[in-house]
Amino acid sequence: MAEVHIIGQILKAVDFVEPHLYCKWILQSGNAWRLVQGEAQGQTPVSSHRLETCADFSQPLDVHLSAAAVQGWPRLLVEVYAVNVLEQSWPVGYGFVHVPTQPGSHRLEINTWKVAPAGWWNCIKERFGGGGAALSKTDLLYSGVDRYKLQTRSSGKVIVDLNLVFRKFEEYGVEFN
Amino acid sequence: MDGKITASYFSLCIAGQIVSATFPLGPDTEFVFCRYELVAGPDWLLCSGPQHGLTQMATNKGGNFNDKIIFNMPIEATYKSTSPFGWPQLLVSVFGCNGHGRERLLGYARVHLPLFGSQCDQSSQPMLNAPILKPKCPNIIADLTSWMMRREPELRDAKVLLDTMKCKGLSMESYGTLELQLSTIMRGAQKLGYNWHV
Repeated sequence: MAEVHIIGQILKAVDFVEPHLYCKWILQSGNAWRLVQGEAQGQTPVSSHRLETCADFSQPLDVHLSAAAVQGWPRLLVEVYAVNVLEQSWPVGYGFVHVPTQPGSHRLEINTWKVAPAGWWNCIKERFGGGGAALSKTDLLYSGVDRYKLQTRSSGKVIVDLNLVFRKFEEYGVEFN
Repeated sequence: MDGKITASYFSLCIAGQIVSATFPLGPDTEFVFCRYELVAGPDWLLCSGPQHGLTQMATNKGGNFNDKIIFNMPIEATYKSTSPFGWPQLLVSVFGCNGHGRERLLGYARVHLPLFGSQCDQSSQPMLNAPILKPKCPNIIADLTSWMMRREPELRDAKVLLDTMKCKGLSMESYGTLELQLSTIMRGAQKLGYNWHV
């Protein structure tokens, strides 16, 4: 079976309004893919920067996958959460990116969105740290089917470094040009 | 494959240095020093070179407060492995020291060793920047105790930062960056079927 090594890091989140952030991530792939070694999900520490509006996570990611087919190419889903002084947390950014289909080292920017507050009461609640709305079904994050029902607002960016090493794809006639 | 038994491992040679540390508003202490450690997965074997190291006490006093603090600390090691999983990481703990021997933690920085390091040549080699993360007290009571005891929070085992699930719930603040220059030379990976070209 062909193998893929994904080695990299969740580097940082930039352009978010909230200062204290953490990020949950999941590496998701199709049915033909199997996780051989490593953790396909993780959660970063709560991070803030002393001067700038960015949160450095610098969390490592090291996953070894094996593939029987190229359908269901892996993708990285991220959810950024904000934390307030009372240790309440609420989501402030959802996003995903497909893992590049080219071996080598890549820096990816994931532009995220959040659910727009509906009505003035939710607006006020969000403004004063009560938290915005969360997705109840996180499959909205990666599927395009039910997206038309959502109202969203753009949020910050998550910057991810990924290094990809492929193995034995040539033996199965898969070409990466 | 000429009938010989081919090696089932590849080797990785790392050459580089911890170049400097930069604190945008100046470091909190007079001198700064680092302790570095190379951490790799279970399949990896360190063949040559030190796994730990301690830099000199460095300062940028005399210059601008936000000048680079130069370490110029060499890192050289050779690893042997069968799989890229558990790729070696460099964990650097940055400490500060005031004139009279009082040490305190300034933070931790981590970086994966470059996977495609042999591709770029020395002159155009980009600098790797790693943010320096410092643990924070999780709540006000811990903050108060820390202030009274004059002790700042440290991680008991900084290696949790190299794990994806273990640092969940930690609270960190980043201040400053660590600049590193690392290049790697691979041997024998192509033979194992790894597609290493960029």
